[in-house]
Amino acid sequence: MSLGIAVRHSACRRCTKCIRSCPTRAMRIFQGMVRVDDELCMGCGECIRVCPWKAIEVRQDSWDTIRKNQNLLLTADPSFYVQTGSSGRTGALQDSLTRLGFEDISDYISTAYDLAALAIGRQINERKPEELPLISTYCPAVLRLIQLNHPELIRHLVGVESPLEIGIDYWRNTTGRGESVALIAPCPAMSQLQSLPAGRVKSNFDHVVIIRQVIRTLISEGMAGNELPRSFERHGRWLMWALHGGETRHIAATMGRPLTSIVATGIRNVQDLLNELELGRLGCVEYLECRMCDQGCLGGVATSESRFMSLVRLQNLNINWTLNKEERERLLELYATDLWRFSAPIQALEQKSLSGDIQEAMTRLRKMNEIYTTLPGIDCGSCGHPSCRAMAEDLARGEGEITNCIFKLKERITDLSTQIFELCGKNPETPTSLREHEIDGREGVQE
Amino acid sequence: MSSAYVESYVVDGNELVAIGEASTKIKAVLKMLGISSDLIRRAAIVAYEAEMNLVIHGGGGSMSLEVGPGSIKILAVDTGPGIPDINKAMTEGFSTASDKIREMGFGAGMGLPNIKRNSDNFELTSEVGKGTTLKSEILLQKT
Ligand code: SF4
Ligand code: SF4
Repeated sequence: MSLGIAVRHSACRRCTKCIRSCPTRAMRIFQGMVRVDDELCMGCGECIRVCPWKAIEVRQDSWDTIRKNQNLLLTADPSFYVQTGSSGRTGALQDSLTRLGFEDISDYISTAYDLAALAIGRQINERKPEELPLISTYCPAVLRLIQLNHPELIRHLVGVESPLEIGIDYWRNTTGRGESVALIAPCPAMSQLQSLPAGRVKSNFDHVVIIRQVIRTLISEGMAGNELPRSFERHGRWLMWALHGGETRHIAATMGRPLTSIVATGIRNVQDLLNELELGRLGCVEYLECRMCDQGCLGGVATSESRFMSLVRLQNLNINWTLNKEERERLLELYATDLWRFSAPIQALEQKSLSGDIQEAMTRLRKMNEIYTTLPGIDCGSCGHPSCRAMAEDLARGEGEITNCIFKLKERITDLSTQIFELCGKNPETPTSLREHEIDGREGVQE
Repeated sequence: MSSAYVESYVVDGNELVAIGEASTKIKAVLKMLGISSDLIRRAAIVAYEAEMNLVIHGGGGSMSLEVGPGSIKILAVDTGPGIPDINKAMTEGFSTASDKIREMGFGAGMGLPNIKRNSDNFELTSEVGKGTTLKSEILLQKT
């Protein structure tokens, strides 16, 4: 399964909230069960946010198994480190993981974030002005949205791998070690990286667990509160990627000049921005930092802390944005190794046209319009489709039945009962009771 | 049988909020017909700029989309004030090289040249006091 989410059918009440909230309309209720189209799911987690019955979960491996596995390397998304603790401190959670027996590899990971920022800056500088802006590939949900709905923008994607993946490659290359790796992820989109890696053939992550799961056990075991006077974050730059604008700031720092960029967080803003780029309206902009979640990964659906509180913690960090001489030299060496570069192309995902044949598609489109005009247009979702339009579209494709719409069903019943009523008023030409009488009469006449 | 698919839209000149509605619909239709993404992008730009012109200069009007056989045609008609000097309208403020112009956004004279650039065939007729008709054609297959 490639999906980042799973539906617990036993908890689902089929209230249709999820199918109507899905931005890519990947969900349907079919034969009484919520179905998710793997191809269309981008892992944004919107369905998880809206489900009143908590029937949708992020797919993850068992944390109990992971924590007992001493031969495992554990790495976390930056947003993990600000889920608890007092503002301006981030060391506590790494310490908890260390006390559980996990090695601290944050040096490698933070260097990988520096490297990614540097590589992105170089790609921006290498492009001709008319080929800009480049779009960040950090949020896998945004990446998938582009593959699905904006294939024309694929050429704008920055060709730099996720720094989380680069960090593991770097650690492996340096130490020569080969243990399995687990990722602590803030959302289904990142957990999906394991089976759907971006820009590489195979992901470094063998296991995924969500932030909320880890934090909950750490808190319940009293392991999340300790503040040690240790500046785990070293320079803190990489942690800022969890917050809107952090990536841009980091890139600009490596470029040594200001960057004209637009930061868009939240589904609606991201969609609007990509539409504007498609219309060619963002001429002078060099970089688009897009994140599917409000505020950035702090707002990921599988985090545990209020995004506002983690925001405060990050804002109070003492960030050193200037790379020193050694850091710069090390980065340039690493840059030359191409460790950071996409090794597999990002491809467009098939567009859902009505038919592969344009004439057939036109026929179906006409049929779809016809059906749509007969539907009530209130998008109630009772039919199991996200909207009346989607219902009309699916019907035109030959999927589902018109009577799945309760209004259409009611119409049919009304028609049918009118017919039945009319029929009840009619008498057959040869009612049995009359026949005997008539026969009697006729017999009488004949006699 | 090969026939065309036609749809038309009314663009309200007083509804500034609705700018982009017709072009969004056009984009959705082309997607469902399985038109290639590059052509959809060009058609979306043409439709969007034409729609802007209708609202900003034409006082509203109508647009239509015709798909097939062989091409996508977008027609925008208004009964607004008309364009006194078409040649001037086609060049004014136009520059692909200058980002500054783009930065200025709407009203920088990008509309018509942008439509032309994204069309394979382009026709603009206008009469002062009567209105403007814009025809853009994008070929499905370039020969
Ligand atoms: S939101 Fe979806 S998964 Fe949750 S109860 Fe409603 S229909 Fe079921
Ligand atoms: S913004 Fe971050 S948390 Fe949200 S979907 Fe994207 S990667 Fe996941």
